[in-house]
Amino acid sequence: MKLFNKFYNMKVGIVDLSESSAEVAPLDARLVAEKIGGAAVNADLFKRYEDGDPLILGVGPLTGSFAPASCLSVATFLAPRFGNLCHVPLMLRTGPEMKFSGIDFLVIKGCASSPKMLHIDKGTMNIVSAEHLVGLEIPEAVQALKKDPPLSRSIILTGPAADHGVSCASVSTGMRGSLDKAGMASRMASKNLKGIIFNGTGGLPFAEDNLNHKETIERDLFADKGHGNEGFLSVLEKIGIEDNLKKIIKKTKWRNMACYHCPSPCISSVEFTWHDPRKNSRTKDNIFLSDHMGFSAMVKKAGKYVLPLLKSCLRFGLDPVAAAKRLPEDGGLPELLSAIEEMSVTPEGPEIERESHPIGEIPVETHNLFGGGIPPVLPDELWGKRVCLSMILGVCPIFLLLFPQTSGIDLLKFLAKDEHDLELLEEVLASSIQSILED
Amino acid sequence: MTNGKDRLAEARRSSGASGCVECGRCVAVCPMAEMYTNFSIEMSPRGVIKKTLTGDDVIMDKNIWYCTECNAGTDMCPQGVSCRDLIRALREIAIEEKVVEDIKYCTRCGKPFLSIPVKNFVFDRLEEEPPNVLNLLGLCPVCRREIYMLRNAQVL
Amino acid sequence: MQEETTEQNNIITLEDLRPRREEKKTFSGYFMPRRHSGILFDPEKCTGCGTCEMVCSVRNVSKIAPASASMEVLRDEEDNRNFAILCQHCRKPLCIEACPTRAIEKGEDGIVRINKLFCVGCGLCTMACPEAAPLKDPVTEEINKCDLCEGDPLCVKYCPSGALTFTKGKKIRWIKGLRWTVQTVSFLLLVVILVGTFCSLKAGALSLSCPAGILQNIASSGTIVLVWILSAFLILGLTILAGRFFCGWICPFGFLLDLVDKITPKKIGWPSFLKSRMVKYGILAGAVGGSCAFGFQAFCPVCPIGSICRSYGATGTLNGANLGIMGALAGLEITERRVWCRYFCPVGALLALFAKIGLIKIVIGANQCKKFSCIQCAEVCPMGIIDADKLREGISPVIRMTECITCMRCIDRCPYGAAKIRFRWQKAVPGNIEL
Repeated sequence: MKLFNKFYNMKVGIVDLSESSAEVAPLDARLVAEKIGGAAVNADLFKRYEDGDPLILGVGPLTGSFAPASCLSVATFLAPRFGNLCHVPLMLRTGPEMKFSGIDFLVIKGCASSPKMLHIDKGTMNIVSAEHLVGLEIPEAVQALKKDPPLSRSIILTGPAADHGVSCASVSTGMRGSLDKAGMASRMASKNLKGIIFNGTGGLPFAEDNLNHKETIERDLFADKGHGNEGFLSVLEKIGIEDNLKKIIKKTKWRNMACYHCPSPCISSVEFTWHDPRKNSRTKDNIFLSDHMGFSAMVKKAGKYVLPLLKSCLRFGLDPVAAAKRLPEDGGLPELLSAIEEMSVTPEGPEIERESHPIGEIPVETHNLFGGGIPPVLPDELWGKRVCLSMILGVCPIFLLLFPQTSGIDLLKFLAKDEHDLELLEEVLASSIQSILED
Repeated sequence: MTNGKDRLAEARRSSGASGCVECGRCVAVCPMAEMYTNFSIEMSPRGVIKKTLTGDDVIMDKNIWYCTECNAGTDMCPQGVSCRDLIRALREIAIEEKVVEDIKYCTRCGKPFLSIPVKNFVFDRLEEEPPNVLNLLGLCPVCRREIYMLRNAQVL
Repeated sequence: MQEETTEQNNIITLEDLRPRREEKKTFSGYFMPRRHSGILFDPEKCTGCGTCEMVCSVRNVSKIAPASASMEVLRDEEDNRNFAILCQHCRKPLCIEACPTRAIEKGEDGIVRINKLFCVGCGLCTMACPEAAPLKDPVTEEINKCDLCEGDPLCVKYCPSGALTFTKGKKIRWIKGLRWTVQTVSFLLLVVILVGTFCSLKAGALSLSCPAGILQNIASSGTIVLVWILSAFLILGLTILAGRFFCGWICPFGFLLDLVDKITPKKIGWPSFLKSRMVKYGILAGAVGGSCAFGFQAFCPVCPIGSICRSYGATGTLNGANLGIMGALAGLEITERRVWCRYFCPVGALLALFAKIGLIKIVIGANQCKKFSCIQCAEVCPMGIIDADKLREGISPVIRMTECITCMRCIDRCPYGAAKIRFRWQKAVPGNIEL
């Protein structure tokens, strides 16, 4: 099917860290024709390279295009924390930058002898040393990387927690954290891969009707309000809001942020002042909130100290949900902060504890299949299907969960040229959704 | 220096300099003629290409530091020689070989980012501007972005 | 070289082919459109989604390639702020100065365009531009610069959060019209219709007096009459409420100075050793002290405001000395605007003391201000109290209300809404509270 030529570079990057080789191979056109893309193709690639214990990154056909919230890339790997195959969504600008850097799928096999970075630019891949980044807190490491020209446009990075072999480490996109609760950071650390830089300077061909279609969809969605979400809080409200949360909101300044091409922001940056026990002074600080599950877990545990604690989780690259579970029941801010610091340097860290109870009405297996970080906005079956749809097409899962009225057909219209294509695509999409959910 | 020689050969090959037929079209379109009163054939892309092909001491030559690295000569060349890429490669080698007297360093981070003759041209053109505008011009692109972000982060 | 000059005359140079524009319609040497169109960016609203870059690149290279756009959203991950680099279509574009091939032009509509025919992609404009707004395409190495999509910018059209807005400049500067009307009416009222009224006026129970005159009265006579205080307080009270609005909106001599300013647009500059704004307080003190010593109002006979009030009508008395002083002071307008008001006026000095404890302030927010491209506020300010250098550095200048005459020219002129009038206790940005 030539439909996808416009939406893919048709390139797959295969990296073998053991032999430190990186090559760009043409993508099997049949693969995307059968599976469309994203998590479905990732799962297929995983099976092909299973013996190399691969970590696979992939984008969907709509990633980077004019489809609303087209920001998604999917990482597929055997999750150390859950023990099953896991599709973790990577948001912000990772997906589009990956596509614009010239490759659609990235297979990372083997294990390097020393810490390495993967640098991808204009369709070429380089493995470079990352010894100088080991042990650095995430903001410092990102700054060190950004100073180095050429400008790095998108970075995936593991933090000091992963360096120390903590099992509940979480990968970070830039300094801004991620929805990874499945242990992608541990998987990267086990490969001695410190991070991946995408420098997306290329582009995608553009079909004019896509822009019109985007306008129609967004006009229908926001017809009553004229604009999208009100940031992080709109999602928190859907998954249940706490009383003391309202107090915290009152005392801080929130600004909506968005991932790539998202008309309806569900993430926020918060400016707050707090009493830093280490400096023993009031400090102005701000934090980028993108992890709804992490925030609600932390606010249940630590109440009003949630923002400084989340900030410290982001710095060390820890998963806030797991960290919140391990925090002492009571204690002031200094104790809690040092508990988190303690967690980030303890090898092995807190032992693996699988979620056993369903989240909302969603069975825990389904939730864990997608990294365990996507908020339970919709009831059971719909949730799994919507997330699966988003993971295949490369559209943000949270956007699709918040706006169930945007159907799969609406999104497929970006790909299809005529009715015939559309019918064909629908069939393929249904079967690949099925294949992911049944795995 | 052997490394330098190798890299010079590499630069010749990658920019296609050996294909030069000395037609002079690059000189005709070169904006340096407008920029510098002392524009000469040695300074022109054709002169630099010739010198690259004949001698290894081209990196010691002051004339490689006048170029603005524009696309004009590269676009015009009938033989596909990229004088822009050649000059870039020569400058990189020169920096590695510590031939650095014509380099402008960023006033903030200290990295080389521009050649002195080009900087002088821009400063001459903008000499009427207030000093705080000119100070900005001494910053490399990376630092400029950081300055913008800092400036923007200020609240009233 | 000298032998070659005759030969060189036959060589066609760039000067012959593309001569530089010589339309010196304003001080800066560039053609100025009446309306200054441009794109405004609000960092508070920007979510950093990058839709603007997408649609812009579609127009530039017919691809979705954010790196090839004519604008760039810088995303600061530490402060979590976004900032768009946009061409501001400066009033005095530095890119035009720096371009060696003269490929950049400012059109009659004020839009700065790169002529792709002549652009060679050297990138000197990127270096010269204070905002670094012309961006180099990483793939094609061409320079991309905003041309406002010829009047309908796509980035503004598709911005989902409304952080980008397109302005064609203000159509009617209503404050300007209002101020000139008020000034004209009060001039007619104080000078033509009610002769000699500003100095003291009684209309039944209402009495109005010049506060500096009252002060001198008190000093010379050594007695305080309650009516005097009340009549002076009308103006002083209003000054506390609204700053030195009297100077900017009512004062007939100020109106005369504004008129003189209209016919002398070129300024030769006031000598810097005389640039002390404290002189007027000295004159005020001298006037009061003099009245005390001589027993009559020492300053009023030569006061130019009083002179102009008394000059008209059948009873108009304007002797040589008065005329001379008034004319000379008005003539000072060729050095700077409102020299009298800035440095000498004792009435203004008295009002300034009250404006210092006034309730309002003028703020110019550096965040909204577009810095390099504009600085129109500093240019129009008749008192010259707006620090253009501070603004260029991105710092909000402190505007001293003692010197501000509340003429609101800056508010009227600012195309970006950065100049605002606020109560003294108001903050532009709400503060943060400890967790």
